[in-house]
Amino acid sequence: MLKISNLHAAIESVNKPILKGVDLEIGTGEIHAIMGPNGSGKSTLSYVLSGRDGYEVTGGSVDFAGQDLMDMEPEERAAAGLFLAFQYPVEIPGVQTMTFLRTALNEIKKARGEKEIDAVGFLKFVREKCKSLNISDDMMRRAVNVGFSGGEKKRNETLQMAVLEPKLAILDETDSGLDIDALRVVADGVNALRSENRSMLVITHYQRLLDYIVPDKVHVMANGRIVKSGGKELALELEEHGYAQYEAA
Amino acid sequence: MLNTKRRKETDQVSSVIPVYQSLYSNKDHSSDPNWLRETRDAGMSAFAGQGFPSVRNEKWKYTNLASLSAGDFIAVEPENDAFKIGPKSAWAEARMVFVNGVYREELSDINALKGQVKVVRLHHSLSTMKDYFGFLVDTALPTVGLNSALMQDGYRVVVADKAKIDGILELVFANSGHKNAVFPRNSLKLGKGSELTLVERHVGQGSYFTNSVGEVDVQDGAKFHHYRLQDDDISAISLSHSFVRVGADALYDNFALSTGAKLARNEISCVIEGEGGHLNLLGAYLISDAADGKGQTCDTTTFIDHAVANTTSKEIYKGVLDGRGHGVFQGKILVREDAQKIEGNQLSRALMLSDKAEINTKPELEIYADDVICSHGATVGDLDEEGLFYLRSRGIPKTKARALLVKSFVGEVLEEIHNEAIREAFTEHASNWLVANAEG
Repeated sequence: MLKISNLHAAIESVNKPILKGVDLEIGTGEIHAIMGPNGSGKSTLSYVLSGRDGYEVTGGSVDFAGQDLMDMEPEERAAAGLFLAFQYPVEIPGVQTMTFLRTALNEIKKARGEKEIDAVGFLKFVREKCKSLNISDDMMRRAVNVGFSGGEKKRNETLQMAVLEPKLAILDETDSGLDIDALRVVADGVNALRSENRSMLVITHYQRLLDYIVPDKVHVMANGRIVKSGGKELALELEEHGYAQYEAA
Repeated sequence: MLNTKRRKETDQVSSVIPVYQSLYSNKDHSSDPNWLRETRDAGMSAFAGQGFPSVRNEKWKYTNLASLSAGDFIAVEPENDAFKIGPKSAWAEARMVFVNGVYREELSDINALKGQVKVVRLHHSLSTMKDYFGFLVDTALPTVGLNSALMQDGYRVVVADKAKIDGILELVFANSGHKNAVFPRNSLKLGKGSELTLVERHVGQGSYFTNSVGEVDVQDGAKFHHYRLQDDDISAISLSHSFVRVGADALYDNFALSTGAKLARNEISCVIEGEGGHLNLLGAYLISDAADGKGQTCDTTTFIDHAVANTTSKEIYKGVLDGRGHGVFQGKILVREDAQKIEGNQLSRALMLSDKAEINTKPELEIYADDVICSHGATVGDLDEEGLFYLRSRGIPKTKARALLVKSFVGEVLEEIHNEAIREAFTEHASNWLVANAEG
């Protein structure tokens, strides 16, 4: 599904290298977690994968379902089935969540040469998604993320994922800013979207998220590289011993 | 160098004055009663003493009328009136149409409001309006003075006390021709406890100059929703100055949407004279390049006088500037001594879609009372890059994402339009502008 090979990237404005040779392969239906200390390059990796401006890829390659991801615009990546759940979802005043989601879904359908969904059909579709994720559809009538609590914002990300049905979802620090109850609700939502066709990359600083979203593999990132990979038990080990041994390296 | 330039400007200013003076003296005012002739004379001498204001005049610092001073627009008689006027808008109950400043009965339809509200052309009633004509208007201002001198037609609307008019009255001002000038003069009185919704549409084709003046008296307990769509030709110069008086517990609710004209100035001077009076001054402008390749200028200049206690005002203007568009916002709020418990909020926001666009904002608060809540804010920004990336990451292509963000920016103020049909019509007009301009 996703194959990252020797990926190098820098922050454009200051020409500062952040990713220094990342190698990572995620198979179809697998859930991988990347853990690491602050500044290790975790979030940069998610931005580079989703195509945010301001990062320059200086080496290596990323293959996503047979396509060269680094050659694509952000909207093309979304159409190809990539989804980034933001650490800080953006507020868009004046755009109703419903309009936003329908526009997004139809643009993706258009890009794939599929038939667009009409307003009535979409309403029905999104209500079912809300119901399955235990989200009140009142959120759909509000402007995107405006005045949402931290928990609501993350649930909105989950809902977007449910509506857009990506092949690969990157969850960037989904646990940040959430209390334990909100975390559980969001994790339940994410788990409901697990499927054998959908891969996920969970980026987190803390082990606690992985109690709820249990990964197949855990990678440790430090200083812009994956320095160790293992099974889910690696997360527990990190919780106990911290990142110090990896940072020193 | 500087001196040469200054002398040249002065020469231009003075050169155009005799042209308007002879225009005025060649007109036959013999049927005007004395008081009206005095008003016209006073207007003409105010203009003759100053000419069109130059950028050295503080109130006109950012809006340059040099082409008017140079005498570009002087022939009052239009060459033609070929501009096609479509049917009455779907939301309108009745309408009056003015073509090149003159009322056109065959294009108008005011029967539906007959008996509910007095709607007449000013031309017919002017000579009988001595007691309530011009009492709010400051004829000493040069552009207003020029209007007073040369005005010939416009609308006069009087709503009787307690009359609540459901149907919307549409006023169309259509201009056409080349280098002609028109001076519409409008007058409105809402009796105590009455209510009216009125929409002005300014449209046209050609390089004309329209200089309109309006006078609005919203008496105690009355509610007046006054909407204005300025869609003049992008070769035209469109000046408008409204003088508004708001009585006790009365509401003056103004929304101006502007997309047209090479140079437009919408000036509103309001005094809230009765306790419980409220004022909404709202609007949006979307501008880009003018027909001559230079930028369109859109100037919104407002003055709010909180003359008594317990009065409130809300002011929001949003501008979308593409190409070489030039926006101007000057907003002054005056709170007089002893006018306690005032709330006045003012906001001007501009969205720059091009690095060649320009905006000048000048908010001014002048407060002499102490128990007052007043705020003003002015923001200028580019499209939110974070928001743009967020939308694109969800599969929405860049051009569409940009349009969505611009639409939401303008949408915030369009939402404030009280009447649903007008809100939809104005939103559609703004969307059409975005499709034609910003999405490319």
